[in-house]
Parts: sequence; structure tokens; C-alpha cells
Amino acid sequence: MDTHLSIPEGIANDVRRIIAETLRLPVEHVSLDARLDEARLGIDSLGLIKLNVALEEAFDITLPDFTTPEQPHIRSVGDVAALVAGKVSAQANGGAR
Amino acid sequence: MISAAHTRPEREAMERSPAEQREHERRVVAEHYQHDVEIFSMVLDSRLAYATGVFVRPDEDLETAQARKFARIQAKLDIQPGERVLDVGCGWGSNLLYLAEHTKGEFFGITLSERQREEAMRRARLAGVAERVHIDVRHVEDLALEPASFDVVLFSGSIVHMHNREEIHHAVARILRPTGRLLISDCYYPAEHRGDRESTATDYIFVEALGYCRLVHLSEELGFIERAGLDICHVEDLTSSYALTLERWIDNVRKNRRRIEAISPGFSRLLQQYMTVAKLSFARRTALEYMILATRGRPRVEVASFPIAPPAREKGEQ
Ligand SMILES: C[S@@+](CC[C@H](N)C(=O)[O-])C[C@H]1O[C@@H](n2cnc3c(N)ncnc32)[C@H](O)[C@@H]1O
Repeated sequence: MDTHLSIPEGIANDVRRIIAETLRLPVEHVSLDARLDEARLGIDSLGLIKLNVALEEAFDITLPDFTTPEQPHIRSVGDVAALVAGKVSAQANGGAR
Repeated sequence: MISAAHTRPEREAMERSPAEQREHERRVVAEHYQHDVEIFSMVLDSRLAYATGVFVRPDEDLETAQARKFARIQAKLDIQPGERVLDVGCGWGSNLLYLAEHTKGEFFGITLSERQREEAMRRARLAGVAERVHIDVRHVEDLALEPASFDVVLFSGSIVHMHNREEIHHAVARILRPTGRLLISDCYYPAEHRGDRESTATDYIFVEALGYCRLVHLSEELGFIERAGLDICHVEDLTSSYALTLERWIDNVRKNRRRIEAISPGFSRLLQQYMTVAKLSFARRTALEYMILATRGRPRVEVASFPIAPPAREKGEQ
């Protein structure tokens, strides 16, 4: 999925920062095209769940579980940021959470 | 009988003496349940059941599913006037008080948490059943009960916290009278090895969130029960119901995140994280949930009538 260009920069940076904090990594390692299953991110299923919850908390949104087979398109940090950006704008437009 | 491959927390438990393990459970398990009841009131159903409900359709609400669970337990136990019921790990009194309100038995509960005891007794007084409800803060292995002194022993979502299963089943069988019933509703590992039992997610839920948990195979638990002299009557699978129950709880955590954080910072996160691990485990069937009924001697309720009633006749509201 290559829609990363349209993600507002503020959201992209917040998502990268939250991922870095959750995984205890320097934020430079968390680029938008880094894959979630990449060894360098060292993210396991608990890590994905923690990330899910941290993002819901930070942006006040509801996200699907990243770890389920129903979410195969959420592969990279950029995919996560795009998803968050979509939820945030839907909410700002008065959409249901 | 093949036993479940031991998880790290279990291996550590096996290195402790039984007395040390009991002390350990008393301390680490109680911690979760000592949190403010106001938080759990935002997440659970109105009776604060902290265990699976029984869903017959995926779109039902939590209240309906928990009401059906209480009614089903009542039907399976068929408590007669004056019969003595022990609820081991009674929580805030969900099943105990429902049964006290709907039957004329005499009720005894134990929990590791003083705050749960207080809340359950407050609710017992409100419901007008306090004279038939007695609750102590006690570890199950510290109960010194007369042989053949109870008609029913219930464990709902509690036996998973107890390491010393074989001894506990022997003690339970000893205190049951002839026609006595044992009901367990809890979580088991499938005998086939599925999922990663050494993962950080397993450790998180068993240790960090809930203190101590031991999942055995269903066949191991049934074996303990049989060898203690009881007869297995009925077993039903509630795995998908637990996935749905957890989904409802998680939604309630989401809705109340700010209020939960105001009472206990970090706790909404812990709840949502461990509940998501559990939900995914039940959804993928790397963990299974069963309700087990066993009897000492001839059953009171004839099992030929189980499942209790077809879904169309079983409304849930009681
Ligand atoms: C998940 S809650 C279930 C509460 C209740 N049975 C229900 O279904 O709503 C587990 C309960 O088991 C209790 N418990 C856990 N280990 C115990 C032990 N060794 N002895 C007595 N109670 C125990 C806890 O204090 C808690 O009340």
C-alpha cells in the first residue's frame, strides 16, 4: 500500500514516536517504510497489541487488531500511520469511532 | 495421559514447596482483584461476572450473555432448599448472589481479595440475602472443612489461578456429600500444541496481568476429577462465547479509558492488553474454555436433558 505521501506529517511523526516508545527503539529506526515484521523492529504479537492500545489511547480512536489475518494489508509503519490518519479524519468529520 | 507442556510460570511454581506456592498465589493473584470495584463496574456486566458469558448469537449484549450463564449454572446445579454451596473464588459475588437470590440454599464464598469480599457482602445486603451468604478471605488450600459437608462446589474463572490441582480436587471430592455437584468453568490448553506457550504474550497475561495462571488440558482436569472419585456428567465448550465476552469488555475499557485512568493510571492499558491477548487466543482456539459438571454418585439433574434447553426456548433474561 503506497499512500504514505498523503499522511499528515504530524500524525506520521506521532505514530513513529509511539512505535519507538512502545518498542524502546530510537525513533530513527522507525521509518515509514519499515515493515512491522522486520527483525530490526523486533516486534512480536504482544508488541503489536501494545502498539494497538497505545495508538488508540493517544489518538482516541478504535483500531482493528493488527495481528489478525483479517488485517493483512497492515504491513509497514506507514500502513499503520495511514490507518490512524484515516480514523482521525473520520472522527473529525463526525464519523462514528 | 499426556500433560500440558509446562509454561515458565508453571516451572517456577514446581520449584516452590506447596506452602511457598500458596503464599505466592495469595500475594500475586489477589493484586489484580484488589483494584477499585468502580473500574470493574465500568467494564463488566451489572453483577460483575469476571468470567465468560454464554452467547447463542454473536450480536447479543454482555448483560444477556451473563444472565444466560447464571441461569445455566442454576439449572445444572439444581440447588434444593437448605443445600450448602461453596463458591471457590467468588469474586464480587456474581454467581453466588444470583444463586442466593434464585434458590433457597446456604451460600459460602471465598476469595483472595478483601475488597471483593466487602463488595460482595454489600451486594448481598442490598439483595436481602445476607443471612444466607458467608464470605471469607481465604486460599482454597487453607479451608479446613468437614468431610461430606457441602452439596455443591463451584469454581468459575478461578481454578486457573491454582497450581496444586490434584490436591484441590481431592479436597473438593472429600467435602461433597453423596449427590453433591462440582461445577468448573475455566480455560484450558488444547492437547494438540497450538500457538506459542513461551511467548511474551503468554507471560504477560499469566504473570504480569493476572499474577499466576496454570492452564492444563481438559483431559488432565477430567482425570483429576475422576481419580478423586467423582463422575463426569457434562462438558460444554464455551470458547467462542469467551471471545465475544472479551470483545464486550474491551469495548467497555475503550469507552471508559479516561475514567479508569483517573482512578488507576496504567490500568486501562493493562486490561485492554491482556484482554486482547485472551480474545485472540480464544478466537484462534490456542486456548479453550469449558464448563464441566461432575457429581459424587448419582446425579441430581438427569444429564439426558442437557444441553439445558434449545436456544429458542432459552431466553437468557431471568
Ligand atoms: C476471575 S475471578 C472470577 C470471579 C467469579 N467466580 C466470577 O465468575 O465472577 C477469580 C477469583 O478467584 C479468586 N481466587 C483465585 N485463586 C484463589 C485461591 N487459591 N483461593 C481462593 N480464591 C481464589 C480470586 O480472588 C477471584 O475472586
